Amino acid sequence: MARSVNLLMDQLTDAAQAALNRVLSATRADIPECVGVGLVNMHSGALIGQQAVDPVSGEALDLAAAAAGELFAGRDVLAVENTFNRLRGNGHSGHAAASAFAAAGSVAVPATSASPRGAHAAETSEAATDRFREVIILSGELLHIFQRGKRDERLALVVLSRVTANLSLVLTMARRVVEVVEDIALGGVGR
Amino acid sequence: MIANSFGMGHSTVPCLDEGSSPVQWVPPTAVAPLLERVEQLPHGANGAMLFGQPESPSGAILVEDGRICWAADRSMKTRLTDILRQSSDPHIEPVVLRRVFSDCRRSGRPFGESLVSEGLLTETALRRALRQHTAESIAALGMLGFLPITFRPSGSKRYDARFTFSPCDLMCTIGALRNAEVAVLARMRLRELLPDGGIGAAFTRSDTMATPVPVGVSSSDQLQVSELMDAGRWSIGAQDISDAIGAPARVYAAGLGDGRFATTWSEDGVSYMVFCESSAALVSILGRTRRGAVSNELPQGMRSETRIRVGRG
Repeated sequence: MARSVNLLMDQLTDAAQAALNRVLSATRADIPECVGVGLVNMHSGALIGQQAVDPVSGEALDLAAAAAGELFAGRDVLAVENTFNRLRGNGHSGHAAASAFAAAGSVAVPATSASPRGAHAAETSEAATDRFREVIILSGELLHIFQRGKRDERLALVVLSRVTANLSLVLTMARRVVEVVEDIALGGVGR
Repeated sequence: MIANSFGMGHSTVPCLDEGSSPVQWVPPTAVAPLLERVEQLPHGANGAMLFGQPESPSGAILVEDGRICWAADRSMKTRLTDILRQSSDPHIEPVVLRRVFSDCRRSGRPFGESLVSEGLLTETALRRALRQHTAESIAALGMLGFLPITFRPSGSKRYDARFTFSPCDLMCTIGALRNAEVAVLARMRLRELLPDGGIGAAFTRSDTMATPVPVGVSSSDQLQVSELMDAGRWSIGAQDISDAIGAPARVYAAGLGDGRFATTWSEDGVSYMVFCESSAALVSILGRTRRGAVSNELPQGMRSETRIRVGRG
């Protein structure tokens, strides 16, 4: 945690910054139709590292970075997270553990028939959490994906792809990369 | 209780005149605290929330098992007459209503159920009329916020559960009565999107307030009023942020990392918000939005799956 605190005040070491840029560059190249990728310190809204295909994408990354904190910690976000968890029976509102989803016959779709492959794999491998970990914004031209850090919730990976990209693939890769870049950032502070 | 409250005088608030309905001049935010008070009653509570002096209250909300059975406000005394008359096509004649009313007073039979049993109203129409009347009365009671409110417990249950309503349902009814046309379409859309009864809601944005106005909810028993309002604010806030970063969201989804997503999008001026219990459910919602036309706009990897879903839906 001490390292996380340092991250808010310090920059990465040269070696860590170089390593982060290398990973982000490779990520941008690997993710389908990716136009930009960056690691954000949500506390300040600043990009710790970024790779974009052109200045316009760079600006889009800057804007996304500035908004990232609001997406995960806006004033109504916590309320919706709590509702979600209460509905599932693991919430903070003191309700019984019975699944309201089951009672309500919620959107029931066989997971294997339509689930994005990577997303479904992640579902089965990860324990349930009670905070939003990722945000997807599908707009007219771009697909924004925000992945919150797993070790430090003030970090987030932002991926911008063209909206024609395969969402499942982009999502899966973003989920995988966030841990890598987070490790680099948390391991490389303190210059 | 229906019969007792049923006045036969002239209506001061004709129900077809939407502009004069209390829901038009009482903002939903003023009503939410009242409904939240009902939700805060002890589990299984039966009784009446009385406004003003308990001996001669200015209004009341009757509650059974956390559901609202009836609300009464002096200013709304005769409006139910109009609502009931207009709930049938052709409209029920006043003389017929008076006759049924008198019969019920003599026999002690419930008035609403008598209208149904005599074939004057369908069960659905009665439920809709009672819901409208109760919602409008609660909106009017929202103006009495300055009066003390006391709860008088009752030992017995007297109302048919089919004609009782959750606070969340009534909150949406108040919003829906403010803009009936939009609400009808939004509710149809919710049913279309959640054919199996998942948890979702539809909101409009008031012209004069930043607050979202709920106009439809699916599985209303599962949500509390405060949660509904939170969901609306989150939904509109998410779309505002998307606009601010230059990426107006066709669809916005926030995931808990275990496959569950809260998703929101806007269609024809209505914001929808759905809790999806799996990424597959999210894909299904994505496929159903924009009635399949969106499938051409969806990311490549999801198109074929979407067509299947839409076809089945």
